[in-house]
This record gives sequence, C-alpha cells and structure tokens, in this order.
Amino acid sequence: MTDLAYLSVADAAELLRSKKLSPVEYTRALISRAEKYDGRLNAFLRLTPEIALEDARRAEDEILNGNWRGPFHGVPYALKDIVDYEGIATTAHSKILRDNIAKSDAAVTEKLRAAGGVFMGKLSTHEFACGGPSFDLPWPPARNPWNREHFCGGSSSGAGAATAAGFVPAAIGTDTGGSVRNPAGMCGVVGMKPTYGVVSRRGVFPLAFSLDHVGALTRTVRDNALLLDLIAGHDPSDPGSTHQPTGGYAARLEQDIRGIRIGVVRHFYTQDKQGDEEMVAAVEAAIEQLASLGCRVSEVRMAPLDVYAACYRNIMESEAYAIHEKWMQERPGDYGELARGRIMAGAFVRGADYVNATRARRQLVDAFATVMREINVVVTANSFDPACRIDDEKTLAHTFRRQARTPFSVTGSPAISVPAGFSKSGLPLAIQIAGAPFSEALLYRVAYAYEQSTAWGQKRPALE
Amino acid sequence: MSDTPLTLEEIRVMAEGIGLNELSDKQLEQLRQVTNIKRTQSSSALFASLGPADEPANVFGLTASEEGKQS
Repeated sequence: MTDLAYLSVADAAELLRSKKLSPVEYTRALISRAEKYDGRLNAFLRLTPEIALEDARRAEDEILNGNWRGPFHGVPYALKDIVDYEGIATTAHSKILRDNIAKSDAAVTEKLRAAGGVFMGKLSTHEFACGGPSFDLPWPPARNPWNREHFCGGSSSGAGAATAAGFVPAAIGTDTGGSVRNPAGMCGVVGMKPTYGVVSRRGVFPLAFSLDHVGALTRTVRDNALLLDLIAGHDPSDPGSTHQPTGGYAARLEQDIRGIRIGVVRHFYTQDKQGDEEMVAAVEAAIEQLASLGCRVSEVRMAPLDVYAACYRNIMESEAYAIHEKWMQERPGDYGELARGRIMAGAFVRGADYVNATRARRQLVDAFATVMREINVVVTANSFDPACRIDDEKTLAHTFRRQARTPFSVTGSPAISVPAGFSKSGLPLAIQIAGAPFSEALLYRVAYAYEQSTAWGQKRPALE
Repeated sequence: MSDTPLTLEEIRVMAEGIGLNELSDKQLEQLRQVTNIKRTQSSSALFASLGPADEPANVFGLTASEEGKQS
C-alpha cells in the first residue's frame, strides 16, 4: 500500500471508490500520524479523532453500499480555525473567542460534509488571521515541518503545516493579504487564492470584508483544483459572492499550455525590492522551465509594490478595526501583542483615506486588466525570502512585507503558489502564478504543467 | 502624514476620544507607536491620480427582485 500520509486526494479517491482502501483505515493512519508528530508542529488547535472516525465509518458504509459521492468521500480534511464547524469552537487562535462554539457550519464546511469528507479538526492560525507567530496566546504557533525552528508562514499556518506534514491531504485556509499563499510557499505545498467571491465567506470570521478570500491548500495542483471544484459557487448569503460560473477546474488540467503568453513581473522582486538570491534563482528557473514547455514569455510591468501596499494597508486596517473596535475598547488585554498592534493601526485611519484607497483600488484593478490584455497569466515571486526562524522577531517583521502577494489581494484576482525548489538549508521556495478574474482554470493548467515537469512536490519533510 | 511623533499624553487623549479607555500604559505605548508609523506612511503616490469622478472599487450593483422586475 502507498504511504497513506502522502496519498493525494485524487489517488485516495480512486482507491476509496474501488474499495481498495478503507476510509477508516486511511483516517486511523492520519490520526496516528498527527497524534505522533503534531506535538512538535502545533498544526492543529484541536484534533477531532472521534468525529473523524464517525465520518470515516459513515463513508465506508456508503461506499460499500455503492453510494460513492465523489473525490472527497472518505478523504480527511481540516479547517483553519476561523471557519465554522457546527458544535466546535471557532477560536481564531485567540483568547477573545476561546469559548465561541459555532452554531452552524460555514458554507465550505457544509460542502465538504455533503461530499462525505472526514473532518480531522481545527488548524492553527495567526490570531484573527492577522497577527503572526505569537507565543502570548492560549495555544502555541504552528511550526514549519521542513524545520520546526522556522516559521511556517501564515496566517493559515496550521493549514500549510498539516498538509506538508502529511496529517491531511487538503485544508481550508483564508487569504486576505496572502494568508493562503504565504504558508503554501513556506511549507512547500500548493495554495490557491481564487477570485474574490468565488468561494463563499459565510461562516468564516472576517478580517477585512472587501479583501477576504477562502482558499485551498493541498500537496498537488490536481487536488487543489478538485477542492476548488467542490467549494466554489454562488451563495446568496454571502453579499460578495459571485454570479459567474465556477468549476470545471480539474477537468481542464491537462489541456495543452503551449503558446500561453506569460508576463513576468520581474520588477517586484528585483527593483521594488531585491529578493533573496536563492528565491530569485528559483523563480527565474521556473520561468525558463515554463518557456521550455512552450509558453511565450515576456516581461510586463504592474504598479510598484509600495502602491499596492499603501492601498491594502488603508483598506485592511480600517475594515479590521471596524470589526474589532468593541473588543479593543473592552478587552484589549485579551489580544496577543502582534494582533493588537496590527488591528490598532486602523484606529485613526481617516475616513477620506479609506475611501480614497478604495478609489485607488479601482484604478489598480483597471490597470491590471490592461496588463492582462497582452498576456494570459502573470508569473512572479511569492515570498522574497525562505522561511526565517520562528523566534527571530526582527527578521520576521522585516520579511513580513517582502512579498508579491498584496497586488493580487488588492485586485481580487486569482493567484496560486506552487513549489519551485528548496534553499541550500532545505527550506521550500515557491513561485506565484496569477491572472485575470475568474481565470482559475488557466492558472491551474499552467501550475499543473509546471508541477508535472519538476520533482519538487515529491520531496517530504523528515518529522522525526 | 506628519513628521511630529505623538506623545503618550496626546495618544491617551485621542484614544479616550474613540472609547479606548481600557488600555494599559504598555498598550497605549503600542498604540502610540503604530499610529506614529502610520502618520509617516505616505499614501500620496496612491492618491495622486484620483480625479473627482473616480469611483470606489466597492460601489455595489443592485439586482432587481422579482417584484422590481415586474414593476
């Protein structure tokens, strides 16, 4: 039998459907692995083995009776702990919400449960999806499976760590300013931030309403496409939910990418900021690889990173402060220092600055649309540095801003992080592929072709 | 944007003005620091090209209800 810990969703689905693998056996293997190793990684805030085994037994009965529901039937998954699962606390990794029992499922949870998924538990996050790796919270921060002394990215930190560590093949994260793509890049897994509105935010604790996206972290591009196929779609109870058609992502993965026009946004990581040498080399090697696969590569320019950052800051900080104002007035001491500082930054943003940032945002969206008229997808860096040590506060603060994720948060367009190698010290490196709104299928095709032409995704962290 | 950093007393008055009355001295100092950083962060490059008619990105579009379509 294949190593169950690193079975892909697609391979597991085939084994489960054909009854060659028992959902109960599969689930027990992953529970054992998480129980054995997660004390060192803290990916889970709460592991739920009883629920997982109940879900697995139900899936087993249904599959044995010929009622296979689809690729997530009997497949374990976990949720970032700002996503509601009925009857389980959604804590946002914060003392503030320690006893906040969810009254109903989030929209994504409903879909995963309806698909027969096996719920493994709630995953670590930066506090309220905006703090950082903090040691002053009720639970410790998640650590990087490739080197537990290092940061695993965030804010969907547990989602990145759990997927890379082989605790689950798929996890749900959220991305406001890069919180799916950052841990995906730092943990060596695949993370997609879909177009704003493609996945419902209902039942997900907000950070900034106009910037929040729900996304998937998986070990393979195909699994990511399968998960987005499942969770995408209009939800009338999410006012930002799109009416555009969604889905069909996995079905189109293997379509030819020859002739696809790639625009490299090189100024992000060579001029606006200078990326780490190994990271830049990995991005450039990936671009050459895509060219060798038949893509037409040219260089394009977008607005400077500082412009996107200024726009993002004004909007995110204002919206986040509005959400947290009451608690900040009544319980400021119940926040960790990092989250409190980031949320407080919105306390005195002027109304005119917030409105002007949203006006500038529209200009940036329009400018990006103009860039996309000449090309099909954008390729650029994700983080500009490999993961630093988790206890190195100064470097954490420095590298926090050294990334090219914010532009696609501001434009609301889809962007995916794909593994692109390892540093000399053995830490994952990544590229980012982005595109026009609702071009997820194309991004997955390019990412899949690249992934299939490299062996980065086959390397595993040593957890011993 | 301002070059003059706020003092702890100034930030205390500002904080009380928006209901942040429960902050410890350490938390007030944290608020002072993040607010001073924000005051030095220029958004002028971002806003320079905005004209009076430039609309915000989050202006919503209403959809007609069944009743609205029939009227």
